[in-house]
Amino acid sequence: MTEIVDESLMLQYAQGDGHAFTALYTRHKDSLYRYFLRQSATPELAEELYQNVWNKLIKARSTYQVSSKFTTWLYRIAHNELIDHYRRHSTENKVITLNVEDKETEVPNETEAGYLADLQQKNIDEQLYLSQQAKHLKWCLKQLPRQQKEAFLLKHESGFTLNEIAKLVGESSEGVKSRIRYGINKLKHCLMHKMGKV
Amino acid sequence: MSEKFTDHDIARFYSEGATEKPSAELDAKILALAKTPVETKTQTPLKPIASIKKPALYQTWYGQLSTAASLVLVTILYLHNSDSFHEPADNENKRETHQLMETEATGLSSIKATGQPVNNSLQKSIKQRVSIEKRRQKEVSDIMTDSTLPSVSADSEMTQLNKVKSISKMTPEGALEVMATFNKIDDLLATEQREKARERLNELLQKYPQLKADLHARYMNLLK
Repeated sequence: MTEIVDESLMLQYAQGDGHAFTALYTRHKDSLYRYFLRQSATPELAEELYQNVWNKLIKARSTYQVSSKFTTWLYRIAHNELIDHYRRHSTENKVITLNVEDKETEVPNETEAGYLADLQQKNIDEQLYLSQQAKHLKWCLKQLPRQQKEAFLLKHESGFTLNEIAKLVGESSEGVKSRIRYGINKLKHCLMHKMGKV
Repeated sequence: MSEKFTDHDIARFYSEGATEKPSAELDAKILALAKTPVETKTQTPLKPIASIKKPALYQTWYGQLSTAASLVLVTILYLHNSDSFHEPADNENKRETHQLMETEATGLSSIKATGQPVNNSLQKSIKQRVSIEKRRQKEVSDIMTDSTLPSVSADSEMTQLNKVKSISKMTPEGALEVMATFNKIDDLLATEQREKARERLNELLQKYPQLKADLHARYMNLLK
C-alpha cells in the first residue's frame, strides 16, 4: 500500500508537485541516512553520500517510470553511489576503516567499564540492556565485510525481501541469503565476545 | 539474559539502536534543492509569440546563403558572357554585311530575270561589302599579331583576305562567281579531294587569269 503511494508521490513530484517530494523524503530519509551512516567511515561522508543520492533523484525525476518499487529505485541509486565511492577512494577508505576500528576498539572498553559499574550498582533494567546490546551491535556491524553489512542493512534497516535485495545489488537470492546468514552469525559471535568480556 | 542470541534478538538490538537521523539543516538543504527546479519549471512564463523578435534576413543562415549564391551566379554569368561585351563593332559589321548580301541577291536575281547589265546600286553594294570584309580581316589580323592564337588560324584568315583582294578588282558578277568557286575549292580540299579542287581552280584561272597575280600560296601549291 505504502509502495503504491510512494510511486504516485514520485509521479506527482515529476509533474511539479513539491509537496509530494516532501512526503516522500520524510518517509524514507531516516533509513536511507542510517544505510550510509553504517557503511561510511565518518558521519560527514555519510551525509555527503546521502545528499548526493537525493540530488540524483531530483535530477532524474522527469525520467522516472513506475517499472519497480520506488524504494528499490531509491536504494539502487544509493547502492551505486556507495560502490562509486568505494572505487574512487578504495585506498583512502581502507585507511579510514582501520583507524575507526582502532578507535572503536579502544573507546568501548572505557565506556563498557563505566556501564558495567552502573549495571552492578543500579540493577539494570531491560531498556538499559537493550541499549547496551544495541551499542555493541553497532560496533560489531562496523566490523562486518562490506557486502554482508549492506545485505544486513537492506533487510533489517530498509525492510527489503531477499529477492528485492538480490535485484538491487545484482546478485542471486541464494548469494544474498548466505551473505545475510554469515553476517548475522558474525554479529552473534561478536556480541557473545562482547558479553564474554563483560 | 540468555547468552545465546537469536536472529530476532539481533533484529531487535539493531532496531533499538537505529535512532540516528539526518540533521534538520541537511533536511532543509535537500528540500530546498528539490523545490527550486520545480518552482523554476512551473513559474517560467512562456514568451508570447508576438513578442519574439524576428531576426533580419541577413542575420539568418538562409539569408546569408542565398546572398552568396546570388553573387556567385552573377559572377559566373558575367565571366561567361564577357566576350560579347567587347564585340559590338563586329556584330555591327555582320549586320551590315548581311544587309548588303541581301541587296546583292536581289540585284543578281533581277539581272538573271531581265538580262540587264549590273546597275550602280549593286556595284556600290558589292564594293561596300568588300570594304567591310577588308576592315574585318584587318581587325582580325591586328588581333592575331598581338594574341597567342595558333598560326593556322591566322593563315586561314590571310587566305580569305587574298581571296578578297583579287575579287575587289573584278566585276560584281565575276566577284560572286569567284568567291563561290573558291569556297567550293576550299570544301574539296577539306575533304581531301585535291584533283577535283585542282580542276575547279584551273577552270577558274582560265576564266579569270588575273587571279594568278595574287593567288595565295595554298592554291599555288595545288597547281603544282
